[in-house]
Amino acid sequence: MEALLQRAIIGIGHVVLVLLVSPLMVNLIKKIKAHFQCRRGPGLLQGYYDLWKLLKKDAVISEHASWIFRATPYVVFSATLLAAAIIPAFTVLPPIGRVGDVIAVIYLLGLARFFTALAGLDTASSFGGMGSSREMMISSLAEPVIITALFVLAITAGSTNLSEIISSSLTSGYMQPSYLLILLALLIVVIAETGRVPVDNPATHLELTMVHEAMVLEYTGRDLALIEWASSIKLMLLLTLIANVFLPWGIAREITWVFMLSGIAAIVIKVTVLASIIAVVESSTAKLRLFRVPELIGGSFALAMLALILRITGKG
Amino acid sequence: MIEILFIAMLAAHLLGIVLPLVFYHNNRINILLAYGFAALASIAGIAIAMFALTYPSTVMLTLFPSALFGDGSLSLDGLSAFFLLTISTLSLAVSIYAPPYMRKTAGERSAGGFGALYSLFVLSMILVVTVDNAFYFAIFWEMMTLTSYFLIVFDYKNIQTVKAGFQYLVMTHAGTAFILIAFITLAANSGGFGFVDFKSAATTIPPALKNAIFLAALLGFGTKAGLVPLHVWLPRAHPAAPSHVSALMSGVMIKTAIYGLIRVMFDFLSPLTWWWGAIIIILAAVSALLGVMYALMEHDIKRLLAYHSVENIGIILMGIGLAVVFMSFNLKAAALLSLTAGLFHLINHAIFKGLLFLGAGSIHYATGTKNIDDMGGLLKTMPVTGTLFLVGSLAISALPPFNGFASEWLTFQAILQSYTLGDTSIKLIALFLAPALALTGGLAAACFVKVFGIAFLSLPRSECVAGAKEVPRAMLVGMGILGVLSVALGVGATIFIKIPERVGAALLGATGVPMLSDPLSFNVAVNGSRSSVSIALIMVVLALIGILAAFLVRIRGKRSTIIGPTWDCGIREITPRMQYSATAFSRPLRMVFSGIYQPRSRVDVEDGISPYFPRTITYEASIYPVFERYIYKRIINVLVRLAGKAKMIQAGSINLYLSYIFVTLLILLIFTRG
Repeated sequence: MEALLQRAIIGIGHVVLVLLVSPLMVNLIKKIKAHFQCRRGPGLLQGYYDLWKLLKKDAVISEHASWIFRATPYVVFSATLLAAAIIPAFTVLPPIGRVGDVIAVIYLLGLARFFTALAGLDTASSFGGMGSSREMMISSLAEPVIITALFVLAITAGSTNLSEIISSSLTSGYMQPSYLLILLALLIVVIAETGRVPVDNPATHLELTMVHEAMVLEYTGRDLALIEWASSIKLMLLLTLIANVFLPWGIAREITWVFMLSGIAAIVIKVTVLASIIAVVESSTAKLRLFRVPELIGGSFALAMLALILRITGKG
Repeated sequence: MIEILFIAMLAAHLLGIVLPLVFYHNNRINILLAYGFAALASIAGIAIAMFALTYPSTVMLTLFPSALFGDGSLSLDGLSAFFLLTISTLSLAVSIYAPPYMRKTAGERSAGGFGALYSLFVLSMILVVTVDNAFYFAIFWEMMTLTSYFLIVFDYKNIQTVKAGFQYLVMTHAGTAFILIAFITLAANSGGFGFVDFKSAATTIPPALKNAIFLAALLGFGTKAGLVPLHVWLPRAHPAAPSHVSALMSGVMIKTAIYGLIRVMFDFLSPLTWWWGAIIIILAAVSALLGVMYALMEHDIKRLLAYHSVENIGIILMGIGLAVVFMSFNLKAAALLSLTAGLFHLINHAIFKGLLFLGAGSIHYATGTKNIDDMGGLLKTMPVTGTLFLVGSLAISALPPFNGFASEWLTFQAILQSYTLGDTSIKLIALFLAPALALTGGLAAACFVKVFGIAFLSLPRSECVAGAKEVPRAMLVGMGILGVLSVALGVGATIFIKIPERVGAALLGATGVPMLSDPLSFNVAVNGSRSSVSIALIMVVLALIGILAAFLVRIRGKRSTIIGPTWDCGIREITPRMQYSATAFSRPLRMVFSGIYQPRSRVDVEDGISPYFPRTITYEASIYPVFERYIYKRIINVLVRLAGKAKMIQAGSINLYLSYIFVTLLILLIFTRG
């Protein structure tokens, strides 16, 4: 009984942590980017203020939209938060039990994307269609890279469960040639998946360069709050994944208060560092033309395949 | 008891064949009779299959005693029962759907002959998967091919349909020739046509001959299954038929080829050779990728779905090919996992593809068009059809919590096994499977965002679509059954998986392998540690978080929703022509994979008063039919040239032909003298 209670507390704590920290990370990136542009930028808490304000507002929905448009924010939020809840953050235990593995995470994000893309097409605006079309192109190319990279980890662990993968990183070491290759591949893909420069620009509403923003252009008020929150959770979950698989320092292996608190501190620090790296990449690269993006993703796919070959031939 | 039910099922099908012909001139009656009896027979079929799967006893029904070819009987072992279940489930839904659809499609023509052929088609599929004698198998196989040919050319006044039908007829007969080669070789080496004879002779056939038999079977069954590059008939023939028949053809007819391949390999040719599996895996991955890629470029909704059948046959064969590889290394647990994944995807595909084809049929029924670029906004006028089509789209894109995700997850696990077991050569062959399957899934999702987004969302793009009405209730019920099954087989995957698992275990002789699942989640063991997913829990947690989100947006009080126009950049109003079309949606991927598509486009601009205000712009885009031009065109050219040579001996004189017959007879007599 006590164990069950303990697990429940861990699960709830995990979800609350993800919900609370994710807007902060997005804002941190904004802040660092502003610094590079010699601006002061918004305060670190601006993300919370925005959500709080959006939740208060009425929603305007297009006269052409169907129920898909109304349901999408909820589907996207649920699928993304569930995906985040599967990835261990501060303990190696699966946060909400054996709900799913890494394949489930990828396909839950796929479910969220499917609905976002449909919502983009739903309002009869050509911006939405443009965003959906581009997003589906980028993501369908990114998917094999993520799966291949994660399979390299799964081979070592003998399992696609994230707890097992992280445990095996802790025991068998994370400084291996194949791990370094897929770390690079995953970083590229995470940038593509979360819609950041050089693939997409989250700060723009310039018509011809939008991808993700174009799909959600018609959202307002509380619907927009859910969509925005979901995309910051998505960023957070992908960074958590990278942080815990490749740099599993500080993650709690036992359930004691000390380990847990240091685990929470560790994951927040690691994600902060990774978010800063993304901000630096965003500030120091130019956005690619859309049809150069496949080359970038193709490069990361080559890295992932190389890692897979190394791994299955037992050379690293 | 079960035999009686089996006979009743056959009798119901026979009544469904005869009675519509009796009432040939009254469409109302003959349609009800044909599809009513087919539905009854399907219910019986499901019951029989479930019984035979639960109590592994073989139902025997000797029907064709023959001195020359051995006894032919209808029997149900696990594999046959599994296919009977798949066929019956889909044909039940299709038979409920068909009557209103057929009344409209037939119009003034009689639907009696078509109804009779439909029943005969379903019956012949059942006979194919239950008969246990190669001779009768060939007869039923041919029956299935011919009835489906006549079903395809129902719309015989359309020249495209006739061409598609002819291509189908030629290609499947070439395939049948290879199947016959395989069976005759087996019979010659085992002293009988019965499957029992084949099985007992499995160990005595020399390896080289086995390889030849395998290749012949792969070519033969691969043609019927639509394996690349033997697939070219499929995207033409399947869409040409009325939609409910397309659903059966894509859903189950091509699966009979998978049945044949499994039967030949695992029953007649074991122990298996590893490179057979390697060939299957490679062809499967190529089929999956090219199938979905060509589907992306299609705008005819039924042809698009037909290309997705090529894709899914690829995914099914990934599992089966891996099972062959594992069995050749005697890794029974991994082989069982792979075969289970393949079989589970087979039944899942039958369900969601049936649903999607019926949905396409409903659109055609309501609007009269099959071109996605003419559609739009159908979710508002046809809400039930639209929602069910969405379920099918999510399932085929392998998204949780639907059934497609369950079987693709298992296939991923089978691939992971191949990376950790066996020797390095196997691992390297299977190397590209995981990225191929992931890319297939991603592209399938892109394709179905296109189909659903363009056809069902935004504004109608043509008059006939704007006035669409929801289809009759019977059609909705037919689709509804499949929609419910898509969810049930996803959420309840751990329960349903027992069926293919048991079938696979019996086939591989892999009893005592640790169970794949506990009641709540899949647990697959690789190298000692386990991978697990629970689709039921995913469903529950998704719903819980949805409720949490609904609570979140009410933190700051209940807010109203205002209906307003879409942002239009300041022009007067948004018209349907400003929306993204299916062609535009798939353009980025057409550019990315231009090496495969070799796209051609032509823009004609007719100038008006100035070049900046053109009067008309015509844009034409097409992709180069690589397989037709590079492979089939050449074969056809050779055949035509040979036919030209053969003209020399055909002078058109009866006397000459009689002398040919005489000479042939003489040679045969000399040949058989000894």
